[in-house]
Amino acid sequence: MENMAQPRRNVTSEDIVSAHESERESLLDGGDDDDFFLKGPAPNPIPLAGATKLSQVKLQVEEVTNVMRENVSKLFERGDRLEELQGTIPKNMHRLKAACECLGFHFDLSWMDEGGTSKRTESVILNEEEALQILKSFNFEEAILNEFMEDVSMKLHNTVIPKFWKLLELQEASEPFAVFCDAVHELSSSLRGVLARVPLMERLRPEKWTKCGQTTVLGLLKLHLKTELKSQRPLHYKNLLIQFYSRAFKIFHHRREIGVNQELKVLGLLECLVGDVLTSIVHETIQNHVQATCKGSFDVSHVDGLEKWLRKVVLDWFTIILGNPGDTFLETLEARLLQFLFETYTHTRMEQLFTIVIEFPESQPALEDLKECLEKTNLRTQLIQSLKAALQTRLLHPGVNTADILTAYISAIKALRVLDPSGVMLELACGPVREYLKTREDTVKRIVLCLTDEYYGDLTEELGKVDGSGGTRAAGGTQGNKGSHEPMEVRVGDWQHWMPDPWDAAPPSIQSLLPASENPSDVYKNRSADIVSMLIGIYETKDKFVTEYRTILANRILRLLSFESKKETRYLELLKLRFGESLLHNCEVMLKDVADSKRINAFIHGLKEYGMPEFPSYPVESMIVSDQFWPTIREEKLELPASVKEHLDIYTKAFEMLKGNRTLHWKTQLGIVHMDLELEGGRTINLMGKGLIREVNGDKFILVEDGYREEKPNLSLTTTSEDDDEANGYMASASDQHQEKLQVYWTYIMGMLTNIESLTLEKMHSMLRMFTLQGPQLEECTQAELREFLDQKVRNHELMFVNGSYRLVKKG
Amino acid sequence: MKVKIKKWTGVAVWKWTANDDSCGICRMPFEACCPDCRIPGDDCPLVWGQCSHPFHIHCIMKWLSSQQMAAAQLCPMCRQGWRFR
Repeated sequence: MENMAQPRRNVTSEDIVSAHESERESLLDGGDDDDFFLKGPAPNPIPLAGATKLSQVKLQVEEVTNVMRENVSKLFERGDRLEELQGTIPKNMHRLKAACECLGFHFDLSWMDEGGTSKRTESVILNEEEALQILKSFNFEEAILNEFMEDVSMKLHNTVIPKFWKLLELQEASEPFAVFCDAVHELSSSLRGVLARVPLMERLRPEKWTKCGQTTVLGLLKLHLKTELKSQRPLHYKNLLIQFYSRAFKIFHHRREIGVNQELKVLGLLECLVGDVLTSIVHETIQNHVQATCKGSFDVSHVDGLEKWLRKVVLDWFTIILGNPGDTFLETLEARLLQFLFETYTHTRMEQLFTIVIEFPESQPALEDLKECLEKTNLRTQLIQSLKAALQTRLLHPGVNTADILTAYISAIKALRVLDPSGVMLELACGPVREYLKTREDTVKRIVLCLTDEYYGDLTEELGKVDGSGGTRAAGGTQGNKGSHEPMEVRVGDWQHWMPDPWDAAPPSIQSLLPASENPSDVYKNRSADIVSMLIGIYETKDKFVTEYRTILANRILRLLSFESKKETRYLELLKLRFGESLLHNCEVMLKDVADSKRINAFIHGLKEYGMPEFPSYPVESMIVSDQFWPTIREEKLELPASVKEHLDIYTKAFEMLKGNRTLHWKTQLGIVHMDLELEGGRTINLMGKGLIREVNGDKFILVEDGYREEKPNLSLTTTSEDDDEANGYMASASDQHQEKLQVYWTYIMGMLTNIESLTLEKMHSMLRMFTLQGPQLEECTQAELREFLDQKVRNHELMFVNGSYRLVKKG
Repeated sequence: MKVKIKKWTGVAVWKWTANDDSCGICRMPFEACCPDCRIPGDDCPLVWGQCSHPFHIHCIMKWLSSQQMAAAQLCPMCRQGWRFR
């Protein structure tokens, strides 16, 4: 039979053997043939060939018979077995079917019955236990589980989930609270049947069973549910959930809603369906709450209150929604929400930081809150950037006057000290402010005014505060900055409390690291410096401040002429601690002049019996000034009445008597006159000579200073008017001094115009430049300055400006 | 209308009544003080020699003390024998 399967083949050893056999057979069968050896070779070979062919066929028949015989025997064997089987199948099938049915599956097993070998017995009622046993014995668990999952999936996909979303979608417009509740109830109840079967399935589950990463049937079921739910969700489902939970949050003691959450939780849907909605609602709630709490109130600390609120309100709500999720879960949740709270708070405060800084002493609690939060959040850089931007947009533009910028800067120094004692934050955030202040012309003046006049701010106190620590500084020597080593020493002594600079601190400059450097602690000094040093540090040199102070001091003395130097002396002493004595030497002499003048006045008036001349009608006092040490006093020619001159001469004589070889030159434009004005009506008004008086026809007058006006405002003449502003005081200002320098050009210009008659501004400027190159005494001046100068000359009727060129006014 | 002055408070600059502006020794203005002083005026007065040349007292004293022989004490300006006036 094998041969038949392979019709074409080569001759094998088997064939040879079988050939021998067949040969032998044929030999044996041929009974009539004699022994070859006895009879000799056969006389006729042809009949021999025919016999071989026959035997071959015979052989094949034999073979077939053998195979058939074998097959039949096998068939018989199997038949016996089949009979056996046919007896058992119906019985087992029945049990299996019953078991399946018991577990709620209905398989179509009718094909079994059609076999008809045995009658269907009456349905077997099995209990679950038995059913499980049966299924297990048939190794049927896997199939049943698969069937179960298939079943559930179909149900979910086709009915349950679409229904759920439909419920939500359909009634979107109506009451969301009820809608959601209903939908969840519906979902829950439709799944109840399925869930009830899960425990059985669970028991059916083999020991080591995994599917889609789940090891339990319930897990798998929930996974299916989630997948289906998510795959079918409509676009805007979140709105509804947000509405629901927002409301739920507002009335979170509502019982019904807890049921909903419980149902969702049972289904394992709470996290996947509403998780992010909950998070976003809570975040929003926190944000709103923080913003509402922090709105505009900087004088109360809020962090503790907010933390309490979070624990009490938000976390409680979560506990209610999530049932009892376990301590670890709550702890992580709390930590996360707290972090979020801090971040929100920091962000809120960040937006308000500018205002907080401006309102500094009142906003201290807010700053301390912020400091606490900054330690917990990673928003430091952002905070600095935002403050920097706020300062830039709200402070550093021409619309803000320098005094306000300074006030803000001082507040910022104080406020950021609270936030970051190392001063790095201040350095980073206020860098632009310092740079900007440098570009303002009146910065120095404002700072000095702040320092030495209570009227302009609280810096005078600040100046005084340093007295204690600064006293030791200046005691070291006349050089003010000699004391700058001190902070370093403090650091060395305090090494146990040393903290590295924050990471965003600028690296110390190379200079300050060099041992040969004069001030190795410059960096530290700058950061930990007090407010006054910070302000002074805006400029590289202290000279500017000293010069400005000198001018201000001079103006103050000459304006008040009170001969009281006590207060100024105190400031001077304090300033000396800052700037060093040598720089302030001039001011010292100025104050000494005040004291000396007071003494000399007393002398001249008090010692008449010692030959001092008497003043005929009124006493004269004088502020006697050491010209070399005062700022240049603006020169102004004012011819005084003869009687006044007389009085002044008497004073001069007295002085000359008192101080041999010295005399006085009066600055007639300066001074105070006490006088009475006697009017026709008999009224006598005591006036300070400086007051601005406007006389109106006859006996009417107007005191402009008080803004007081008589009814008839037809002003006829102005008697006196004097610039009272301290800013434009008696001292020649820098621009005045520049004007004086320009005056040098005047002779050149006169000469040029005499020769050439008329010149344009450009021509004149270039010609003057030529002169400037030759003469070193002439300072370079810009075209604009020259124009200003020339225009002034035009106003004074010394020049004419005709057709774009200047010419001299013709005399006569 | 009558104006009656009750008191006049003026401002004046004091000057030395010298025929020169600055000290020939320290080259500082007379109204300033010599380099060793801090306060001008009474604390750093001028002195005149017989030759009528004025100097800061500290300047001329220093000069005179630097001269070896008392007889050779001359005015730095005019080389006449120095004598205080």
